[in-house]
Formats: sequence, structure tokens, C-alpha cells
Amino acid sequence: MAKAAGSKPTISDGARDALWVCASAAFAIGLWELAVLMVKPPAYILPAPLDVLVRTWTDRSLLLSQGMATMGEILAGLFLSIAIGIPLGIAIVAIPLVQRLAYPIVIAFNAIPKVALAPLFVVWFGYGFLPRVLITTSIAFFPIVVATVTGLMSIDPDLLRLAAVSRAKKSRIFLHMRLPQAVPSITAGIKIATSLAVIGGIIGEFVASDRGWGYLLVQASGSLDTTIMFSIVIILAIVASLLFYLIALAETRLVSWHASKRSI
Amino acid sequence: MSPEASALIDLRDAGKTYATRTGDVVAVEKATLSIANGETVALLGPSGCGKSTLLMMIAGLVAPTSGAVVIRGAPVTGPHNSLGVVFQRDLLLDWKSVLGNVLLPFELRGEDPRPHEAEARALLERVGLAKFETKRPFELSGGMRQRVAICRAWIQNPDILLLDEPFAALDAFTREQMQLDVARLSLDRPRTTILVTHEISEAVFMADRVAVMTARPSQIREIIHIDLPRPRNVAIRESGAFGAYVTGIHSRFSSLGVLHG
Repeated sequence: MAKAAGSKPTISDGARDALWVCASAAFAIGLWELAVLMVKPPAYILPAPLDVLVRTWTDRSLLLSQGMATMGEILAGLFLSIAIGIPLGIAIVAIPLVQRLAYPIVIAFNAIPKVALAPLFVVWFGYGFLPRVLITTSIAFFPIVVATVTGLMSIDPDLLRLAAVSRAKKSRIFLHMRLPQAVPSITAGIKIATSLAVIGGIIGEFVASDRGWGYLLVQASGSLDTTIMFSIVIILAIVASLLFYLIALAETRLVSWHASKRSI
Repeated sequence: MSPEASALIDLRDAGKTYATRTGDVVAVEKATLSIANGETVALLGPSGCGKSTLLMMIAGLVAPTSGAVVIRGAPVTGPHNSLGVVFQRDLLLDWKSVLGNVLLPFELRGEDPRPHEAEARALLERVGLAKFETKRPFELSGGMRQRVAICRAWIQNPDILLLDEPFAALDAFTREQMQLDVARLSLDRPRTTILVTHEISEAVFMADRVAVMTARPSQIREIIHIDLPRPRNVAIRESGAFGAYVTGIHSRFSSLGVLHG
């Protein structure tokens, strides 16, 4: 198969985008600094941006070592969500029995506030790495399943007519038509799952952990250490954004043919 | 032996009625038409005359509610195995190259497309797309895309070609060029071709016979033989005989009440 000859965004486009991200971050920090300067709140209510930065640097080894645990949970949970979500979505569309039996369960499961499951996971699996990954997965996998199902189902009926007059095999329609056209939908689901995995990782540590950024947050809250809490929150925002951009980058490579990915 | 027995495609009182909540809707009244091997027939009429439904019944995608569609003596129950269809939309897959799209029918059937690659390239060359085989569909113009769709129908070397308003979405010049291209492609081997169109000159240019259809009732009202020489080329379009057929069919539509005022 030939390589895609699609027009790619140029480097100057990427640099300009990055510049705007920086400008927007600077704007937010500026507002924050302004608020601190004008209101002069005590540090346990609202610390100054510079104080947060300094604190992040002094406690860098603590933040990093605790962060490894959290990142491990987020990435493992996200990986598990993709590894379960996409095959489950495919099975739901491809196998009528699975659709009838499993899809209602998936939907009912999603209706549960997953935080409510966290204590149960602690009872079953204790305070280790596993329950936290499972909590993350339980939160993140649902949008991937739904996006996969929706993507596979929403096929142009005219394409199916083309397949019918070509006397296509069902498995081949799946491989050459349904699956490729579902990819943009699936990657959109993974993007949503990425943000949810970060939430899941932190919730998991709130209830079932003795380590991680979530655990640090709970500890800091107990001692009114607002500065370190701000450090963690900002780090989480950066981590979640980076993960999102990483997925978006993979998506651009994967679906260069899709209308939303063309720069004309 | 009746003339119907030698026909390749035989519509025997084939009709289609859809049941809706507000009552039955007749898409096609009983249509009777015999199409000989190698013949090109145009189904010509305004929208709502059932011409596309008729074509879909021949394709085996829509089952008639009355009568039957018979191909080579056997009633149609599904898509025939020697069928090439060009739809109004090109239906190219954006994630496949031009060549990959032409070879798609083999992929869909689970056959190895590689033995057909040379053939696909030759077809693309004949429609002027020799240098485009590695391009993606979104890099092509509307006319080029529809040419790829035509190659995709031709690659299977079908006995029967069904063209469902294949040029309707194109501008006038591209449309005329495509009509010439299809006429040229059909030179190597006459194929039984059924063309659905709402354009009189297109029907006259392409067809050996034109079935004049009307809406309300949706039926074939008249069949007109087009006695123009083959191969059809630009000169024929400019001939007096061609113009006379177009004018004649136009006035036929007026007298049938399709056009008034």
C-alpha cells in the first residue's frame, strides 16, 4: 500500500500553536498573581505563583517519587481501558449475543458513580497497586466502549450497498469498511478516557493508597499545606494535557485521511 | 421462442410498494422490460418515477413486491455475481489509495487483489488517472473520484453494468467527458448496461433504447429506440439526428404532463 501523501501541518504551524499555549498559560498565571497582589490572602488560602514554583522545586524528589506511582496507575488504567474497551466494543457490534447480554451491563455499570466502588475494591484487593488501577480502569473504559460501538455502527448505508453488490463477506466489510471508518470515533473516545484516567488515578489514591499525588493531596489538606496542593494540581493539569496531546498526535498519524485532520 | 426468453435481463411485471403508516406508497408500478445481452438501456425520468428503485431491484438490493426480475432465466434473489454498479456518490474509502479503492471488490470478497493490480493500473490509465494510483481520494476532484468509482465497477469485468445517475453530481463539462469515457470503455466488449438518469441528452447519447418514465403513476410509459451509430463520440452529439431525439423525448415528457407551463 502506498504511503499517505496528505498535507501535514508545517513546523511553523506547530511552533505557533505551542506559542499560543504558552501565552494562554502566562495569561492564567498573570491573573492569579494579580489576585494575590490585590487581595493579599494568607498562603493557606491562596499561595502566590512564585511560592508554588519554589515549593515544587524544593520538594521535587518527593513529588517525582510519588508521581511515579500515580503515573503508573494512570497509564496502566488507560492501557487496560483500551485493551478491554476496543475489543468489547467490537464484540458488542459483531456478536448479537454479546450485544444483548453485555451492553446493558456495560450501560448499567457506567451509571454507577465509580467513587462508590472504590471502598469495595479496597475490601476485595486491599491497598495495593491493583485496586487503584482497577478504579482508574472502571472510570476510563466506558467512553472507549461507547465510542467503538458508535463508530462501528454509524456506517454509511450506501457503503453497505456497495459491499452487497460486490458480494462482500461480513468479516471483510468489518475489516475494510467498519473498522477504519470507526478509528476517528475510537480515538475521540480514548481522548476522553485519558482525562478520566487522571481523575481515576487520584480518586483511587484518595481511598486506597499510602502513596501517590492523590495521597499527598489528602495529607496536605490535613495540614492546610495549600502550596503543595497547588503544586500537585498544576502538575496534574500538565500531565493530563500532555497525555491528551500525545493521543492527539497518534491520532493525526493514524487517521491522516480524515477530514478533521487535513490542513488545507 | 418468445423474445423474452433470449433476454439477459427480464422485468416481468416487477413492482415495488412500500407499506407506511399513512398507507401504501407505490415506488414502481408493474414494469415490464426485456434487455438483450450487450444492450444499453436508459431509464429516464423525473425524480419520484421509480427509476432508481427499478435499478436496485435489478441489482438484487431491493426485492420486488409483485412480479419478478429475471437474469439469465433465474429470478433475482440477491446481487448477481457478474455485476458492476456505479452509484451517484463515488463511495470511495478515504483510508485507501486510489489503487486500493479500485481493487476493493476483491478485498471485500476475501480474494487476493494482487493478480488484478496490472489490470487496475491499465483501467486507471484509460480514464486518465495513471499518475494518481498512490493518491488518497480526498486529493482528487469530484470527476476524478467518480472515474475511480467507474474503474472499481469495471475491474470485475462484469457482464452487467448498473449506473445509478453516476454523473449527476458533476459539472456539465465533466459530465459530458465522463459520458464519452464510459462510451470508450465499453468499446472493448459491449456490456449490458442500464443507466438511470434524469437528463435527456445523457440518455440519448449513451443508450440503444430509452425507457421514458413518469412519476404518479411511477411507470415506464414508452420505450424509444435510439438509432445512432456506435461508437458514440463528440460528433454524434453535434449531429441533427441526436438533437431530434432529444427534442422528441422532451416533447414526449411535455405531453405526459411532466413538463407544463
